[in-house]
Amino acid sequence: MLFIPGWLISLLTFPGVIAHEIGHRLFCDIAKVPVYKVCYFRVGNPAGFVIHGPVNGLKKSFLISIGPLIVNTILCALLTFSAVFPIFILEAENYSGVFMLLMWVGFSIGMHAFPSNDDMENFVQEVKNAKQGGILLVFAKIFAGLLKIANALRVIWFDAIYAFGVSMLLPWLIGAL
Amino acid sequence: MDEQILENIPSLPAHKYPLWVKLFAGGIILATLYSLILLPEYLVASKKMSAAKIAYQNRNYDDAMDLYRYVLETVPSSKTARIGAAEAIFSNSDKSDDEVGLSLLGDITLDKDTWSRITRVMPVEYQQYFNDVKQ
Repeated sequence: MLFIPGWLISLLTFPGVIAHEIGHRLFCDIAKVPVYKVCYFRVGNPAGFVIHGPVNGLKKSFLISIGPLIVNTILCALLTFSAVFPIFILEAENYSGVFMLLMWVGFSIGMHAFPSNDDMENFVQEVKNAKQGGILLVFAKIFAGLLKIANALRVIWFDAIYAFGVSMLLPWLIGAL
Repeated sequence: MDEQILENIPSLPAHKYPLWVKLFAGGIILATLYSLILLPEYLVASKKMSAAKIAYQNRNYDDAMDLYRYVLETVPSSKTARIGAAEAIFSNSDKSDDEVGLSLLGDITLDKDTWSRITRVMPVEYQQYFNDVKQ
């Protein structure tokens, strides 16, 4: 297993960190939640963050916590869509640098799709605060648990595996794989 | 962060982003659009390659060659298409074009499985042009 320091991975995949934080900030603005401080990228842990005010409402909390996951996943799939064909399916031995660029940017964004554990804890807390018991709370807890596992599995490159899977998703769906 | 501490910090104006963030977001949107513009050409080539593999399996070697030729016009260095086209050329009844098949395999490193597949159809006299590569 290849261990690379987190700060180095963040540096190599900085477009993903920036896209993730822009997503948080944008969804805070859309949800009219005040934002106090934003760091779009830095060499450190965490590589980026958004400090925002209290979130009132389940929809807003969902938007802020899960929004970047959805946006980053969609961007990863679309950015890498055309590059996957020459590189992986047609196995071109020489291809344009544009495809490498699209693959790198898309892959980086895909690798930073997962919400942080703090994001998920905020979301679960909001579900509890909203007194939304029953199935919604169970769903939120399962989802948060899955994402915590996903974050923990980053040590075995689960974020890269996820980005690769997302890159292959659209070609697979249209039957090109 | 504690809510009371936050109350003393002025919030950032909504929907106001630094210029570099706007440029970054614009770049990502443009790259996404560009990826989608490039897509049809490669998507069609990929579909043709799938069709070529099926045509080859059905022993329609001429159809397979035409389809692989289309793929190679789009992606000349496609290893899969070059190998597939060479196999189709070696397999058809016309032996006059076998040299074209040989030239398609020039400068390609073949794995063991592909090599054993190709040697089933490749003329024996051509096999001397290939060397073992230690990997």
